[in-house]
Amino acid sequence: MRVGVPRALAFFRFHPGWDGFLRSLGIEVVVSPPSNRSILEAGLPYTVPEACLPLKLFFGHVRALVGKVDALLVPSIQRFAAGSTNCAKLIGLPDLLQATMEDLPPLIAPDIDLSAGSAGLWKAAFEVGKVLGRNPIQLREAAQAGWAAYLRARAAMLEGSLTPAAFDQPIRAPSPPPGGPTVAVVGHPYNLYDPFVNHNLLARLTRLGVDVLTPERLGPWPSAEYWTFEYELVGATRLAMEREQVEGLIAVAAFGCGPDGVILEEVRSLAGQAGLPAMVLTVDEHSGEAGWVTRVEAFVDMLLWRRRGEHVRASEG
Amino acid sequence: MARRVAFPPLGVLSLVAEKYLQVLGTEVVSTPPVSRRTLDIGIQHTPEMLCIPCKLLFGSYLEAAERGATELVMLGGAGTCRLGYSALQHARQLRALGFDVRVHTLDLYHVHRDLLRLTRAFSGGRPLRELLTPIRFLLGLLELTDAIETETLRLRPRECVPGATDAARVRALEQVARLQNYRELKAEQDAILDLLRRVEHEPDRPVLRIGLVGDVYTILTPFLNHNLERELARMNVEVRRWFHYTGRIVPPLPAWLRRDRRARARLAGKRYLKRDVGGFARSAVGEAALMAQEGEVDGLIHVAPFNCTPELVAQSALVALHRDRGMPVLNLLFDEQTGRAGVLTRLEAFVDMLWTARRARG
Repeated sequence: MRVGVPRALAFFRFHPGWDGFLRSLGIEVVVSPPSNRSILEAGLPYTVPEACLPLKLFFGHVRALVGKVDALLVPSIQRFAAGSTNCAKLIGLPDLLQATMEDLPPLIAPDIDLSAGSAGLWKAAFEVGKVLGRNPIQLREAAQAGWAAYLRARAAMLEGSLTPAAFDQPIRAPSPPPGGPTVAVVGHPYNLYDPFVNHNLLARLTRLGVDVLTPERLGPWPSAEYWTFEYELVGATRLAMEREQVEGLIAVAAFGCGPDGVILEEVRSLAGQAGLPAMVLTVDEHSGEAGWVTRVEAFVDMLLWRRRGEHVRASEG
Repeated sequence: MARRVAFPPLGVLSLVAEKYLQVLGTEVVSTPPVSRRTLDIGIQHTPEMLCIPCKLLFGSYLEAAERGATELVMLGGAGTCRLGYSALQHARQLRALGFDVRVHTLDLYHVHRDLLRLTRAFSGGRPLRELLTPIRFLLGLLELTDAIETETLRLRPRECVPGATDAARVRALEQVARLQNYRELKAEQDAILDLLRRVEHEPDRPVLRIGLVGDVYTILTPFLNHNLERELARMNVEVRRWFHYTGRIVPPLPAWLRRDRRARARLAGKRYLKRDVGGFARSAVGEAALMAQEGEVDGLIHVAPFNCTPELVAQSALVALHRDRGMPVLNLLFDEQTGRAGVLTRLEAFVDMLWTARRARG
C-alpha cells in the first residue's frame, strides 16, 4: 500500500514521526516533489482566492499525489492543550479537500486533539489503524516507533544536523563562515523550509555570512498558549532574546495568515522592548524575488553597521 | 466607584443585553453605534492584519470606556477564532491607553455557562433562585426580538410605503426598551408585534428568497455590510438569516437526539464541513445546507470579513453545496476598503440572475 504525504504545512514539523509510524506498518510513504510554480498552479483552481499561499501550495501538492497513491495522510491538527485553538484552515484541512476535489483517494484524516493529554495521540493512531485495517498491537508498536523517530528528529534539529527541508533527503545544511552576525529567523516551518515560498531565504542568509537560528534550533518551546502553532513565532522570539549572540530577528509570515496577523504585533513589541532589530517578511504568490532580496541584504548590512557602532534605527518591514 | 457596565454594539442584541444588565441592578453605559470614528480608532490601535469585526469591536470598547464604563462585556472565548485572542489583547491595550476597566468575557462557545457566570457577577452575588426571574425575562426578550427581526425581514420587501417597516420596527424596539420585567413583556408583546403586523403590505407580491449566511457580526452591523438587508429588500428580496438570537441556547444533547432546527442543520451540513473550525462556520454551513435541502431559498449570500479564517473554510464548503445542489452562492467580503457601489452592483447582478433562473423554472 502506498500512502501519500503532501510536502506542505505540517509535513515540515511532523514528517519523521508519520514516516516512522507508517513504515513500521509496512506501508510505502510517497512524498510529493518539492514545491514549484506548476505545483502551486495545480492547487489554485481548488482554493478560494483569499486563501494563504501555504494552503494553496498544499492543494497543489495533493494534486501531485492524486492518482499515484492509495490513500492520503491529511490529519486535522486541532489543539495541543486545553484552551488553545488552531487556524481554521488547518483544523478543516480534510474537510476542505473533500469539499473541493472529487477524485480524491481515501483520506487518512485523524483528529489530533491533545487537550486531554497524550491519550489524544493514541486515539489518532488507532483512528489511522481503523482506516488501514491494522490490529491494536501492530499500531501500538508503530506509534512508538513513530514517536521515537519524531524525538530523534527533534534532537537532531536542535543540534543543527537536520533541517525540515531535508526530512526525506539526506542533505546537510551548509554552515556559514564563522564571525558573521547571528540572526533568529522565526516563523512556521512550512514558511521557512520551503525555498519556493521564501525565495530561498535561509540559504541566501547563509551565503551572506549569517548564522541562522530557526525555531527548531532555539527550542525546546514553551507550551501552546492560545494558538497551537504560534509559539513558533512568539516562543521562538522569546528564546532568541535570551541568547546573547542574536543580533537581529526576521519573522516570516504568509499574507492572510489569521493567527500570524495578530501574533506578529507581539513579536514586534518583544523585539522592540529588547532593542533587537526586527524585520517582518510577508509571503504570497505575488511576492517578487528582487524586492525580497533587497530587503534581506539591507537588513544584513544594517546589522554589520550596528556592529561597527554606526547608529541605525531598527527598521521594520 | 460605581460599577458602570457596557456591552458592545451588536444589533438588537445590545438592546437586550443592556436591558438585562439593568434588571440585574447595574448601571449601564450605552455604547454608541458603530461609526466612522469607531472604525478609525479601531484601526489605529489594532494590528493591520486583524479582521474588521475585531477592529470595530476594539473601537467600540474604547468608545464605551471613554463614556465612563468601568466594566466591559467582551465577546470572545478560547477556540472561537482570532476573536478569542483579540479579547485578551484588547483588554491589555485598553489598560495601556490608561482606561482602568474590568473585562468580562462572554465565551461564545460556552454561552450557557457564561450567561450564568456573568449573571452572578453582575447581580452582586444574589442566590441563584432570585436570578430565575431575570433570566426568564432575558429569554423572553430574546424571543420577542427574534420575532421582531423575522417579521421585519418578511415585511420589508412587501411593504407598500417604502420605509414603513423600518419605522414600525423602530417604534417596536422603543417599546421593548421600555419593558421592565417579564410580566410587562408578556402583557405587551402582542401589542409590540402588532405595530409591525399592521404595516401596510402586499402579501402576494412576488419576492425572491435569499439565505444570508456567514459571520454574525458582519450580518448584524449595517455600517460594515453597507446596509445589505435593506438594499436586498429594496430589490424585492426576502432575506432569511441563518441564525436566531435564541439559537445558541439549546438543550445540551447530541444533535442526533434533538429535533430542533439547529440539530437538523448540523446533520445537513455534515458532508460539507464535519469539523468545528472556529467561529460559527460549521453552524452557518449546516444552516445553508438545510435551506438548500428543504428548498427554502432561491440562492445564498455568504458574507464574511476579509481575512476571516473560519469563514474562508465555510466559503469552500459552500462551493461544494453549489456543486451538489446547484444552489447559487454569492460571496461578499467586507473590510474597511469595501466600496458601496461594488457591493450594490454585485447584489443587483445576483438578484437578476436568480429572477432569470426562477422564470426558467416556470
